[in-house]
Amino acid sequence: MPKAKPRRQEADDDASSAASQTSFSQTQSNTQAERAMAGMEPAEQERRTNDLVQYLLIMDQRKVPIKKLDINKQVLKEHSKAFPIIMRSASDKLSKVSVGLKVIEMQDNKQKSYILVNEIEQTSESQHLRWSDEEKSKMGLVMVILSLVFMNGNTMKDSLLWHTLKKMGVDHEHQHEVFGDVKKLVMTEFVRQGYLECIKQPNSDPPAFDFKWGQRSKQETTKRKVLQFVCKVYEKEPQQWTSQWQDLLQSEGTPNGNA
Amino acid sequence: MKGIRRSHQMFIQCFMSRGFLDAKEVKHLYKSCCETFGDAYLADEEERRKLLLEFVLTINNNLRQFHMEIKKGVSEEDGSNFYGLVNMSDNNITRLASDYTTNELELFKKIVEFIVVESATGEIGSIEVVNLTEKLDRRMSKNDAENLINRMEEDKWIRVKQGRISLGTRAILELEQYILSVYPDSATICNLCNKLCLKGQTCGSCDCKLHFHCASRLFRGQDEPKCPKAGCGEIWSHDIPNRDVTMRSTAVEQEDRHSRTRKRKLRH
Ligand SMILES: [Zn+2]
Ligand SMILES: [Zn+2]
Repeated sequence: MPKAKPRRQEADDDASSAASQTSFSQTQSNTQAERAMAGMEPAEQERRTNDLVQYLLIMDQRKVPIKKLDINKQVLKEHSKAFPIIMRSASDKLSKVSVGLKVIEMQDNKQKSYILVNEIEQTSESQHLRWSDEEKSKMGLVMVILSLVFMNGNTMKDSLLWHTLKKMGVDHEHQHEVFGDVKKLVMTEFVRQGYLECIKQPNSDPPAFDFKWGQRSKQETTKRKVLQFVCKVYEKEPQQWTSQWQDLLQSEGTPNGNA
Repeated sequence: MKGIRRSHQMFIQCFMSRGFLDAKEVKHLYKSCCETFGDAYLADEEERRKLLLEFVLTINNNLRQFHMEIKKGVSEEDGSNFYGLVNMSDNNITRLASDYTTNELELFKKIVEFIVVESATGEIGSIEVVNLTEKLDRRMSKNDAENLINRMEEDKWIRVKQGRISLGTRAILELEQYILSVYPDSATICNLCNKLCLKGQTCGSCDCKLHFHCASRLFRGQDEPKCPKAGCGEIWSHDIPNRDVTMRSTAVEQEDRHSRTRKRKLRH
């Protein structure tokens, strides 16, 4: 049976979420989390962990960030102080051992939320199998935008992006045959899914935005892959793009080098 | 986890993105997973089938701790097999799994009840759905109801064809137990395949019911088909349908598959 969506009740959450405000990757809250874990039977710890894995797997199918608030409310409940530890073991279970997915914390939000990104190497074949025709077109557009942003020095003004896309035949001013409302797709859907980050420029009126790679893109693709894509389009060698090539080497020299 | 390899992971992830796959797609996916990660892909079809079963079993043995599994279902339309990654638990966790409000869920329950209890054809018309909204405790506009039907169709809870609504693939996989336990008197089991039967043919003198594809299979080549229920034996008064997918030409099956692919939508 599909289940009803419980009505939002943010107010009564404050106590529990404030108590476990730190992320599962940080250590400050560990003592508190350890205390909370100690108060649980091992079987209960196991049960909550498995429930959390199921919850993450189900929620991720919608490709929308999963809020920490909701995890505490729906899964951990009275044990929400144990969040950092249970989240860590759920992440472990999700990754190497089972599904090949990695839990990533979204950073561009005041509210803590998580997405699952792929840990296994994507081949064109596996992407072909996973995506519908509509999704394939959208992923093509994502790849083009990631390339544009990277080639532009890792950030791109929205006006320039729209202008460039328009020259490529994707006009944000008109309803697109496949993408519909292009602006909405890029600024809302791609951002929500973690492919892009869209940052409002301070004091801009009318509002102007900067686009950067989102968390999911940083995990699921590399600058090398994107540059290879661009080279294929322009029939050039990667080294011919001097500054991008340097940027790429730098990113590969440091772990998580997209920062 | 026991025995999980990269090939299994790619298989699971594909189910996560797609939700449901038909038998042909599953075979294709299996081949692709094996080839991508260097697993043995046997030439002998029978041996390969066994290995695929084992492959899915390994996945299910591991997913079960998370109350999920890859499960096989049979389409009431044509008897074709399909497979889906489904939630086996009915606890609080799945509560958020679907984006439905309490009121929307009430309407869906009423639709299921109508299909199981009132309808002889396993369907409900859109006008009847609008009538059902009037029985809800909290009002729902005609627009909202139509919106809900669209969303539920995308999520495969229901199937809409020419304005007639029946239960979709997800519902058939996940709701069979629910329906049998909530409506034990109205829900009928198919005499041939022993699965819940909503759409099918009923005997003229007893309560025996058969899926269309099961009737095709059972009565194939018979001049005078009779009710198969023990002690009945009444002449089967329906036209024998030609709905068994194994009897139909591949061309039809492929056309079916394509139209389904076209209709598949993003689940955002
Ligand atoms: Zn049957
Ligand atoms: Zn009979």
